Amino acid sequence: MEQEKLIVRDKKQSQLQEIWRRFRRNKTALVGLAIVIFLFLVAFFAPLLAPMDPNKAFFKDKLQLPSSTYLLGTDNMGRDILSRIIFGSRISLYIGFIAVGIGGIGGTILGVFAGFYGGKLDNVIMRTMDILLAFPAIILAIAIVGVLGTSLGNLMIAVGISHMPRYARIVRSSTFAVRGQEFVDAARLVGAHDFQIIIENILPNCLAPIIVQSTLGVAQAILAVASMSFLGLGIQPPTAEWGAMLSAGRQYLRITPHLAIFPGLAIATVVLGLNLLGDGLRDALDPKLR
Amino acid sequence: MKRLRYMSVVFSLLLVCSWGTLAFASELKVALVGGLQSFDPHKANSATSAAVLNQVYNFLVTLGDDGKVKGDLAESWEMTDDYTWIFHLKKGVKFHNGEEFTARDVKFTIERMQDPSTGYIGTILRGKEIESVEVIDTYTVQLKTRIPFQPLLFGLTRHELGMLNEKATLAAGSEYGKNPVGTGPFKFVEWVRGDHITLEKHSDYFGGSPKIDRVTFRVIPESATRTVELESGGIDLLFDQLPPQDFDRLKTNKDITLYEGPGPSSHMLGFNVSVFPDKRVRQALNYAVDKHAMVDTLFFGKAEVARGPMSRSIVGFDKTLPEAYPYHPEKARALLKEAGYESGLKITLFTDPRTDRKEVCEFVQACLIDVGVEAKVETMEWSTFLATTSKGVEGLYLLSIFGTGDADGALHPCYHSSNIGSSNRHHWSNHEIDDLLTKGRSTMDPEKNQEIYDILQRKIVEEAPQIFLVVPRYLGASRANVKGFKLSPNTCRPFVNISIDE
Amino acid sequence: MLRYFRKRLFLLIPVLLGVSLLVFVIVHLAPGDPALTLLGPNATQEELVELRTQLGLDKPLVLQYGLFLKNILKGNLGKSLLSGEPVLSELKQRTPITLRLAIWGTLFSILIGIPLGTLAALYQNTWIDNLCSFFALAGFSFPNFWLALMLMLMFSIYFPVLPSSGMGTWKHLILPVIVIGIQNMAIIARMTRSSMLEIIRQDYIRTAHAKGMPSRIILFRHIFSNALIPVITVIGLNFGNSLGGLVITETVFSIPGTGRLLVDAIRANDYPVVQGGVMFFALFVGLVNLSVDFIYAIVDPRIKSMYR
Repeated sequence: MEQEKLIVRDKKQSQLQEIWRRFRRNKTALVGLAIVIFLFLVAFFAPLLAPMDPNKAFFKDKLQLPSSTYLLGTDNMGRDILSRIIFGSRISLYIGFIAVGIGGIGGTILGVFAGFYGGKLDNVIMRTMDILLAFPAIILAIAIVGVLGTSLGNLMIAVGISHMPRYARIVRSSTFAVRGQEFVDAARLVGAHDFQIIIENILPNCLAPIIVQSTLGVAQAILAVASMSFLGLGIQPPTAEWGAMLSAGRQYLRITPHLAIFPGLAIATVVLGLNLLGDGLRDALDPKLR
Repeated sequence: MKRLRYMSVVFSLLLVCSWGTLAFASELKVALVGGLQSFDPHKANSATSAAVLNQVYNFLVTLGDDGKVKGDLAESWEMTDDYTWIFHLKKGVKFHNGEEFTARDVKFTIERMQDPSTGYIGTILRGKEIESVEVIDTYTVQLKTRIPFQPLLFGLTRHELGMLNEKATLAAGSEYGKNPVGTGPFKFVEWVRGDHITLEKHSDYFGGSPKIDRVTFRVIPESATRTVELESGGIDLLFDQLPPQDFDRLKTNKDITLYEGPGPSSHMLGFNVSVFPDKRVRQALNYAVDKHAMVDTLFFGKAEVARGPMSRSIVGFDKTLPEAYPYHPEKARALLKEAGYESGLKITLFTDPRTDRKEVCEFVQACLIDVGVEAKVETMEWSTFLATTSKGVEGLYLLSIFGTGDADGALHPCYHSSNIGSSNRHHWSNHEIDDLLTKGRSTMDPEKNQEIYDILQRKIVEEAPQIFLVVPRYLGASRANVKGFKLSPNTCRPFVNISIDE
Repeated sequence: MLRYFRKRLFLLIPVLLGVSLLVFVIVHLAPGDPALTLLGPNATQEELVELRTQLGLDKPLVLQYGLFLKNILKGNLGKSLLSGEPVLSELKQRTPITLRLAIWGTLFSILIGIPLGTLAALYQNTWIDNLCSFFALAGFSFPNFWLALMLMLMFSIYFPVLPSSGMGTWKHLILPVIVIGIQNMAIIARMTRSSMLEIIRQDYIRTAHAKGMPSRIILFRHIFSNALIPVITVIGLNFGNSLGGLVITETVFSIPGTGRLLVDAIRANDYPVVQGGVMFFALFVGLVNLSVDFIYAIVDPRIKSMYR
């Protein structure tokens, strides 16, 4: 038994190395990784990096162009845009991960059960996912927020729920692929519980597509929340979220476009980075594309 | 041969003439912030609907440039007693379908408004106050009110009271909302819901044929897009809601004419008085907000600090009122300490999601931090907001008050205790205020009436059921070749006198 | 094969039923009162009660749901509470507008996305691949309303060549279609790339090369036709979503489409429009997905052979 475990471990290690090697070859994926790491660092060290309190309003200094005091200028209430963008990274990460977490965990559980047990359970679960998918994502999110209210938590729940079907689908097909294989039957013979089988055998197989979908999902969640803020349903003032900043800045587009340009660039950069990373992971993890 | 040449000359002349008239068919393109609800005045109560309806209909009386009532379809009127009003109608007024406007149409219009089956959704003049309408003769009509009702004339100026043609309205039945017939300077051509409305001139208009041939209202909900359209010529006229920051920027634009005037609505953060029973707290929060800074920061100077619950455009405004609660953070802190909140206070500000409203709340939030009050901002969709604030919110709510144009319309719905649970969102019950409001309604003598409302305005300021904020000015703009437009704080006036230079 | 599709069509029904229940519940759970929106802030209690009765809002919820279902079966999607217009006619008026945007947007994204994806696949891991993928993703990463505003700024103000709002002429379509197309092309490009990469490695392609077939013929006859099959799914998914998914573009460019109709209705608690609209969208999505699967089945030789 020990011998087998060792062999498996080695196999896994060399697999990881192989994946990393493939990943490294892809220049754009590395750029994506760099951006994402940068994002994490900025978010983590935000209080140290930001020159000012992002919510402190100096009314007299409103709508200033970038200068030596305010590196990216000020918004319409006289708040420093650079500080707000830096702190905004925290919120974007927070939103992205929790929304994806809710959607991902929920969707994975549903997908695994659908794939593993098949039959009626599969039918019911997949029909429910179909029902969710029949709503255009943004409409579903708006409707849920309409019911629950516009707090940050509710936004993430709304976005998370609209992501669930995707994970369910992906995990279900991965589960199908593995379920039929012999080692699953073998494990059953040995007396392993269904639960054990799922955790030890099925889930690791789904890991790759889940990771890829999650990376892309964070990007989509950030964009979704920004869109909701644009429609007025998102984050509430004075919280410095990039989408809300963009939305508030658009009425000053003609006189001080930098209010909208900088948060827009921030969103685009982060989303781009995540997308590049996700793409790179997909290429690296997909054995067919060697 | 000669004849052929002669014919061709005549023909080409005709061609040139018709081409000429085609070229000179002037069209005014106006931006609307939202869509039209219906051409049926009994089913429309939004400000954007009013702008369109005012082109198609006339009223018994209307508001002049000075904000006072003047005759529109009514030549003159008098009261024979406290309950009876006699209106003498103008003669020879033609509807769009050629029929003449008579007293029967007035009776028909008002009775239809009172008939629950037509689905009247206006609430300003509730129709309950009008007891009967009688036709005295073809051009004379008598209105009797249930109680002596001083605000009647103002109620009659509202767009919901557009005079209908009995024959056309009955003939169209439930489709009337899409096929209006009125006496106004423009008649209906086309309506693509959510996109645009086209009207063309009514050459038999009793006030003289309009100078422009067509009016097209375009629905453009995005504020930035509206301004872009104005600058590029896609729109000729923006009659309200020009963003103040664009105002200064457009001053140097030779193709644009700007308009500015006193605003109608007073922004206020209403207290749910049952949640804030201590008057000292309410007054303290009033002292804590720097209203002049708000005027500068949010409105770019294009607003006035509030002097009470009404704006100066409302008839009945007490011109001697000072600014309400000038900025005084020390007084605010002192009052809060007295009331026992020295260690701080946590409150919630409720608003709807419009950007300008959220900004006001953000601003107040920033001011309140300085005096130790932590304010959270919560937004709700407009319909939810209205419903929740009616039931009573756990905090303050941001609303903009106008009403009908007179003091009763501005004050009665908000402050009379009978309206708690609906339009009295303060949930405030004060006997003195109630008595004054009731008395003011039925006091027909103008001087005594003004006295009552003067007292009312001061009392309301003193009791501070809201944080008095600002009155934004009315801002509009048009292309420079549009002439004759006058900004009006209460509504969008008929475009009769507007012309477009080529 | 026809039996399979008939079954799928049949399966649409429980899904639609589920959608109807979900939307009914959501819409009635949401706080807010359409009567208040209609009457405005100064409405009194009695007026509200009267209007609610008039609109049929005071009946018990189960009854309202039952009525809703019954009416749908008759083809009646209800009447808007705010405008009084039948929901179906409002949808009929707006759907062609949104579909026009969706179709042109999809065409634009295909026109740019497929070549980009192809280039990226053919020159995998070279700078061409990186550039194309980057390009495609960049378009996808900008928030679409930001893109819309920037384009409007550029082409309606600084260089006033295009109208910034409304509809009517083909010029009005250009900016919104560009925004939609840029957004969608990334997915199509990515899908094309990965699909082509998969095909290129197949044995039969290598065989064709070995036999001496000219590259161009290989590209078009074998690679393309097979690789594009999964791309169809993606295009279909996107298209199916467009009735509601284009709301941001419609908002910025003031285009009276179905997305805006629905969002406005949700915000105003206009129950019939939300319920009817969502049912309409769901049916559309279901039919589009079914058609895509149908085309897929016809075109993909593997599936065709399954049913021989």
